[in-house]
Amino acid sequence: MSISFELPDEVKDVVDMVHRLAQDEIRPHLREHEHAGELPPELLQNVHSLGLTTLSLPQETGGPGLDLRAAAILQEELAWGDVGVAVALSGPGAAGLAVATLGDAEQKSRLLAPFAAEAAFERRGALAIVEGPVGFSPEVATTAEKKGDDFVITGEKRYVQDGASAELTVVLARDASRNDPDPWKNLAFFAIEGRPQGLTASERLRTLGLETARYAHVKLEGVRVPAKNRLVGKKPWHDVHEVIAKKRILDAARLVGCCRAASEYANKYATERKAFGKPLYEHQALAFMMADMATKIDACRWLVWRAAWRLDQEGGADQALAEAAVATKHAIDLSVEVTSDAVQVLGGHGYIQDHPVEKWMRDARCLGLVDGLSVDADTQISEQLLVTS
Amino acid sequence: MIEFELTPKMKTMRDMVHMFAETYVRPYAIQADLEGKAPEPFLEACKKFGLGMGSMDERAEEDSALKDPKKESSGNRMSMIASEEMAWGDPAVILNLPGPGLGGPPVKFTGTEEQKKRFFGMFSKDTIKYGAYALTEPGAGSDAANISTTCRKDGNHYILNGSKFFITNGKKAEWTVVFATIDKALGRAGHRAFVVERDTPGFRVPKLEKKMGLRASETAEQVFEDCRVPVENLLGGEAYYEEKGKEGFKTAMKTFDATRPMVAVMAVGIARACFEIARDWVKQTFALAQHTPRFRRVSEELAWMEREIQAARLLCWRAAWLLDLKKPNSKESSMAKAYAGGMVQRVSAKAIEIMGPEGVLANNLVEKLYRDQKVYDIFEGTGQVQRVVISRRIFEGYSSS
Repeated sequence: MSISFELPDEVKDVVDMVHRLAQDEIRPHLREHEHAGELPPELLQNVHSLGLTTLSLPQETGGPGLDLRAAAILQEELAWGDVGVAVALSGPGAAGLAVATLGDAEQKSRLLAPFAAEAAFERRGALAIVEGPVGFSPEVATTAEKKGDDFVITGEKRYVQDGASAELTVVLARDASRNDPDPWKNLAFFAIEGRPQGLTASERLRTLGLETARYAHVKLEGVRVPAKNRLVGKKPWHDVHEVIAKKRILDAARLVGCCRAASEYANKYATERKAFGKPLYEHQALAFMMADMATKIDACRWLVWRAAWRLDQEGGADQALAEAAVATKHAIDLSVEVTSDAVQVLGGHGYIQDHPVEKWMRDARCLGLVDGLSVDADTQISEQLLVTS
Repeated sequence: MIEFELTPKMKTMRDMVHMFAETYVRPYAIQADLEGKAPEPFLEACKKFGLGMGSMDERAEEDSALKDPKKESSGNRMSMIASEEMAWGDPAVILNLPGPGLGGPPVKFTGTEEQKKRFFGMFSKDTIKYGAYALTEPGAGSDAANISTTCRKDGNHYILNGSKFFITNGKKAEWTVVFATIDKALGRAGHRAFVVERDTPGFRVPKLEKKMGLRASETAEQVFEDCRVPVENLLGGEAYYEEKGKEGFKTAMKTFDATRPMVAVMAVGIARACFEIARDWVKQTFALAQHTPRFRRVSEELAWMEREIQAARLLCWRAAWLLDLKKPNSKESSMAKAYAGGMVQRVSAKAIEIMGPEGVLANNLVEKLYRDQKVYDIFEGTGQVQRVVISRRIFEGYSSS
């Protein structure tokens, strides 16, 4: 192995295809989607038939069998079209990542295969981990109690994407039968199929951006899950972190795509708009700003790729988790800066809805915070630095 | 003498304005944003307290202070204190404070006595009326010298043609101060300012903008098609332009020295609101978790926010102080505006980040303030234009040869 930034041939073709899709089908309709608050079935069908809703699925369950690097690259491309669409696509999503990472062969095929079916273009998965605004803590209040052949799950989860409509909800709960002093050891993931009794969701949450994605709080009141739906996993600490790391990397890749879209949009505007007798790009205050945007976006992408590569190689090893946290935190910070700067390049025109940059500025501030899964990325990095040094 | 103490008069005013903002502005902020208009209880309160427009007597008093070079006024410092409190209440709602708004200063600075009487006389404490200010055009924002709305004289009228963009209260205003050029080739010397009344033939408002934020404030596009404006509405009268010649454009620029610190201090008010919301949230959320690394981290971030806010506020105060002393302040105004415009972006983004998922929810005021704040680095001169002004002043007198 060496150091290389070269895309594999089979990925290149897919990237080109996704780029065209983003350009022709996604970008031109971003305001319609935003106002509708959801994605139209035709788009979902199209995206599904191209295999893009099942990126996280292994080949044996009908997915494309791409690794995380390839998935990240495709997410960047989709988000370049519009990050609101990339986030809100149907498919098993983060729940799929959890099952693919923690399930055994039987669980993977039983729980994930339905998502690959031709008619399943509107089927969604949800990952329900977070319980409070400060993100994830091992002090999980949701409990799973063994009763006969079932587990009975009770608790509340917050900020769950597609929590109200998911056909597969992966829930992190505390196994009530275990009482280890290390809270981590009592945790396990459970896969809830369909919409069983006791599984309800709040009204959809209204958010700063990402209006196409649907977030809600989820309530579990004695939801019965067959024991075979307890995901096998390895070690709970690693299980939780590996799943979150993978989810984070895809979000970080989407943020890179959003930044790239905003940066390119600003660049183009700067060649068309004149002030003080010359195009904007000839004004150094703006030209340097745009040069910085482009540079920082590339740097951020390489952080994302390296973390994705490490996760592909080593799964949830410590360094992979740390690198994923670094890439995520970096992407979250950068996207706020770049999207705001893109608005700045357009000036007053950037502030109104005739151009997409104001939307991307709102979307960027939302993504990475809205589901609460990454709020502790920064503290995780500093803890990791202290542990490894 | 270096002092940072508020006078008793300033303190009283700050407390009154704060109470007003807390009672009649803040509680309606989110609803007004959703509805895209000024809340009725706020407008009623403006009438009740006569907030929109000082009486003509107060105006006369203020004017005499302006004209007397020896008399020190504290009007600009007072307005720093008041504007911060108002923006703290809500930056969008307060743009609906009745009165001539940004149209006021050019009329005050350049208008004839007859014009002041005519255009200010229509405002009174118990009516809800607005004025507006139209300089920006679709093709000329920061580059305001490059406006292409034209005016030409025809008998007792000037005929205006062109369009103006991003005009605050541009639809509901009784009149708008409109900048136009008699001949683009003349540059600034060709600029003229007119007061265009709402029912003038040839004037229309084709569109209200949909914006990222400040949605409770009206932003209009104005179009002038063979719009016939009577000669009496040429600001300052024809004699003014014959006398001052090249200063035609100064009318537009002069008002910036006063309005930039004001806009900047509003950004300070927004940032302070964000800071307080985040601080209170942290206190509540981490009441039992003060030993955690996360708490230590967010405490540090709160401290950083407070530091940024204070630095920006002092830059604003200095610019206003200079103005009160009738000293040149365009560099200092630009410093205040450039710093505060960037600061409010950083601070509001951080407030949301600290609150994580709670911060991006639409029922949280910081969500709205984040959408509102961005324009503070854009209107009244972008951050980049401010930097041009500052650097020109720094290197004034140097030449490359």
